[in-house]
Amino acid sequence: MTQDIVVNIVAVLLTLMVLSRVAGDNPLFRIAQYLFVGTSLGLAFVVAYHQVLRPAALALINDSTSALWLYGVPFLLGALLLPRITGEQRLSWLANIPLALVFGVGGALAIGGAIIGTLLPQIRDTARPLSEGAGEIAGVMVLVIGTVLTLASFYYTAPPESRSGRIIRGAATIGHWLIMVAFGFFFASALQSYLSALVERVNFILATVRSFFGV
Amino acid sequence: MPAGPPGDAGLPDWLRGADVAAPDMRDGQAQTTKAPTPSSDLLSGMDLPEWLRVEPEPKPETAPVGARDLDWLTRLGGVAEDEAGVGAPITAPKLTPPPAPQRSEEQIKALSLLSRLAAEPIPPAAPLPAAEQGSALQRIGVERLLSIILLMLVIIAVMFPGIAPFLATPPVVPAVSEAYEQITSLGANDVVLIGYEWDARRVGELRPLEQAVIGQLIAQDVKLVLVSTDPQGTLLQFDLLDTLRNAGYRQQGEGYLLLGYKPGGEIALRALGRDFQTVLRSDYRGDDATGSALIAGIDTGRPIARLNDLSLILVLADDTPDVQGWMEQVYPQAQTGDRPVSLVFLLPEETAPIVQPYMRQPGVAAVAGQRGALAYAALRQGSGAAEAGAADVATQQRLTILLFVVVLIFGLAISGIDVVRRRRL
Repeated sequence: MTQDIVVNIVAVLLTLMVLSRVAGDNPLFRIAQYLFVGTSLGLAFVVAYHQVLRPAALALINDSTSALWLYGVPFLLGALLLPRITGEQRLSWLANIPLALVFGVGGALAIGGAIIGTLLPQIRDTARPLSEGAGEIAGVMVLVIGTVLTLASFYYTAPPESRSGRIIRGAATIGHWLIMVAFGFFFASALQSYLSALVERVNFILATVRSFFGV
Repeated sequence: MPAGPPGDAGLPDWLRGADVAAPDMRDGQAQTTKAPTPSSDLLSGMDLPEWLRVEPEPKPETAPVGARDLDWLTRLGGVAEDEAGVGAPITAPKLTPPPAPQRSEEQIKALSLLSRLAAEPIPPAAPLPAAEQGSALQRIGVERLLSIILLMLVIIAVMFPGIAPFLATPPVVPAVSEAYEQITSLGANDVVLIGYEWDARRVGELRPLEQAVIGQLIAQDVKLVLVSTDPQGTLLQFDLLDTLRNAGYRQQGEGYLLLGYKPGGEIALRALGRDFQTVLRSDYRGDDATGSALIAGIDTGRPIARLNDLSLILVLADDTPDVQGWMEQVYPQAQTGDRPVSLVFLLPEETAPIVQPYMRQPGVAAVAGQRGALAYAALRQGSGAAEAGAADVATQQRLTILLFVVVLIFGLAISGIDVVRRRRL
């Protein structure tokens, strides 16, 4: 019970320190900011140690040869990153091996995933077949025309004086406004998120203060 | 300009008429005479016996100056060689200086200014004029003032939600019903994979969603497998353990399985999609969970060997890349095979419109934001107290948005008046 009270008081104080930013930049806000960054990094280290490094090291020490491949190779690759700590150039090339592996595999995964999981489904969704309902047909038409107009606003190589160039320029203007409308929509959603966070924090402060007075 | 001698044709104006060929002419020596031994020869001035004397190499005969078509540079070079060869002091030809360039009026002024500046010492810095004291509004700043006003109004709105009873109706979000139906159909023999991909910044929206949706799963005694590729999400998973224990769930590996943090981001998700058993080899304590009661299906009667053996995948994602990662690496695998598995995303309002194209895929549903949480809670038909609480939260949300709009319009009006006032001044 006492622990909960202390935790809540600390949380309320930190929330107020962050909210003090509304009156301008001040040391209280900065302290809260640095605490957040430091705590996040500390947490990441603790999680990495307890859930990645330690189990792998224990398995490497205790288990059979299969663990050697499963954990030994990643350990070796991880150790190759260490020459970069000193900043000495003589051995730093060793770190290129695991980095190349990470970037290569990561890039391949990202490209493969993006094609299968994002590009193809989006193209398929844009080119939906027309159904019988008039509303749905109108929706599909708006979607297709909107997509084409939006893509036209990224077409920069049309000759400006030609007829096709003038058509593309007109389409690009409409596409530009469509993008602006989409950004406005995103901004409104973001605002709703931040106002939700504000309401939640204010509720938390009020609830904690009320609990002190038994209300 | 008077015409010079014929050899001056290639010379610039200021060199015409100069006696550059004078050395040869003054000495009276013909150009055909042999050149003396070069001065660089160290032994040239010594009286050596005949057998030690070195005959200088004969120099090629040079044509008379008048016959050569040389430009003025060649001729100047020839003079230098001849002077070195003779070794006698020769007075340099007096050249008439080139005429001074004509300076314009501006150039003369600029020159005189430069001369004056170079001559004068740097003047002492004049004291800056005292800053003009602005109004109180200008000193505080309109933006800051509006922020403080908005904060005050939000505090009042949160303290007294009853001031706007017309806003107290629970929100209705049609997309929520799809997720609700999927979750309602689950029972004690189903296993749901929950991905915790959010951090504490989104607690305002994702905590209510978590309480509404995972609360229902817990109420239906659904078995849970928890995993995360986000360090903060891992910590938030541990928060759920107390709730599970209080709800009477059995220990790790039986009622639930906490896999903890899986490093590697997309690589970890890929492994999860392709080979689910690999992910199960290490839980949050480093123990092998492949043989646990939950995975072996002792209670449920359905062993979990691959992703498609799960009943549902629930992802709490706070950012677009999280949704993208699960949709790109896990969803294609979840939808293949004889038992496609559905995905349900719990999202903040900010992320929902950006990931909307993904949500149109078959077998994918989403519940977004505080509104979604309230709509979901309303579908669950909770107790009267819970409904009253939901109505309060809904009022607070709407009132806050309304106040923001009012403050925004107020700020625009102030800015407009300020602009008009400045233009008049």
